[in-house]
Amino acid sequence: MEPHSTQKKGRTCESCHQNPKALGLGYGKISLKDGKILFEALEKPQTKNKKVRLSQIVNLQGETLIKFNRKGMRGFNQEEIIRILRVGFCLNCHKENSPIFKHWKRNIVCPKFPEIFKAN
Amino acid sequence: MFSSHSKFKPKKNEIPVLTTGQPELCLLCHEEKIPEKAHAREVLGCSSCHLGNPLSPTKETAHQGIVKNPSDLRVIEKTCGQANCHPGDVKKVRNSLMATNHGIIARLLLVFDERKILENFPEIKVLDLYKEGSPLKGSMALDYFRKLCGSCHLYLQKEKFEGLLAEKGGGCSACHLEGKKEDLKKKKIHPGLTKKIHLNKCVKCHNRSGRIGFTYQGLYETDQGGIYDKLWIDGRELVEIEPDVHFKAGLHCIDCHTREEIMGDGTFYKNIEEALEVSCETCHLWEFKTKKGRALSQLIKTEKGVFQKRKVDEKLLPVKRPSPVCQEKMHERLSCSACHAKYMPQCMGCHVRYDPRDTHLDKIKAKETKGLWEEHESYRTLEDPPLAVKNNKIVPITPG
Repeated sequence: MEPHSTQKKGRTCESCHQNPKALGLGYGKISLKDGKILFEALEKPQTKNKKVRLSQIVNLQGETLIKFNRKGMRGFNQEEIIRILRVGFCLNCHKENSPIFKHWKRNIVCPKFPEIFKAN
Repeated sequence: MFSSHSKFKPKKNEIPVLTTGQPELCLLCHEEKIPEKAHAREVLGCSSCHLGNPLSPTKETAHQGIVKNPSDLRVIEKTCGQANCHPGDVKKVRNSLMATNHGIIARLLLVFDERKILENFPEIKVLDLYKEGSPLKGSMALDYFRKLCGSCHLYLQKEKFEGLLAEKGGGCSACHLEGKKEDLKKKKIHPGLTKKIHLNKCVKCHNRSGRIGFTYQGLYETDQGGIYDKLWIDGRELVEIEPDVHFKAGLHCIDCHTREEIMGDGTFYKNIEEALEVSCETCHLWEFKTKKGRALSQLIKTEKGVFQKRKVDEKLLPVKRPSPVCQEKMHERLSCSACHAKYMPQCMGCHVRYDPRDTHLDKIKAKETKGLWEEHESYRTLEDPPLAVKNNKIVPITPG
């Protein structure tokens, strides 16, 4: 659904790339351990399905957990989630207007934290 | 001319005649003025719209067969849709989603696991619920519709209700009528009809579920009981947020949404998604044509660029093209609203409770019937919209 809340300035990079709720994982915390992306949910499951939280659409494995009422819809898959979150890790050090984002390459390697790009 | 037993006392001695040359005896008594030219009293009189017998000299016979609301979709072939007026719109409006509510009804039948009804009535519409002895009796999904959804459609018999419900429905008049009941009674000013529909008319219905009618004008229905900036007509509490840029530019719903999207194009659409045809790109990429190939007459190309003419006051506004950052390849799958939609009300955990002991107003029958429906939500938030993938495009979504 078109939310009808258009603003001239688009949302920030962080509002997607560092926001598990926006990606469909739900409220929670993203972290990196031993090169693996982890997600710790802040909500408890409230429905009969104990694997699904109310703010959740997908899990970290990219499985869509809810029913969409329109054809051709799905949550992000695992590859998409990881690609989006990898940019989020870079945003911890690099600002939105940094040249690394303007010339972004998927196989870019961070010299300080090389494990980010080996993630998952 | 007037029979001796008639109680009718004409206020004038001359026989009133319309500009067409037709006598219209209704005007002997009815002095109401209509504040618009297209439906002027001297052109149409009363009977062109309200039917009855304009040549009859007594009130009793003159009023036989009159309709209080000529724009009720049950009678529009004889009134608004008659040959010299708007005949092309009869089928279109009756098939529009605002008249059928098919999308809402079909969704409810699936949610309530009453798929069988949908299989037997694949084009089920709100008018089917008005039929006496309907085989649809006994459906919980349809009972829910009648009580919680059944006031937002063009077949609503507004004359049977009071307050907000009396301002919705009633066919064409749901959107096109301008005027107050008090003015008709006290000042004898008959309501007029307008093509320039203010967004407040649309928001009388489009304020639930995704709540786009609120969000667009910078309002959010808060769940923090007692802390609010405004009260909605029905008592819901609203807080002010940043409005949509198009609202700030003075655009009403009709400035973007086409006549066919709103009033129908004759096709029986299954849901709103099928019926919609404008997109951000139609205007901002200067495409000029909708997804269905219809030209947008409000877009005007000049040497200085493209302008949009506001429908209410005809003021021209420049239509800006997207910034270069929107064209970058790394975000090519993003829809415009994935980035530019700032807020999206999100009701998490919608659930309903049914109490068979209590009663609830059935908006189709216009009376209280057994069974009360109550809606609840676990919590509601106003946040950056969550995103999902639709046909390989990234779009904002909300539960609902």
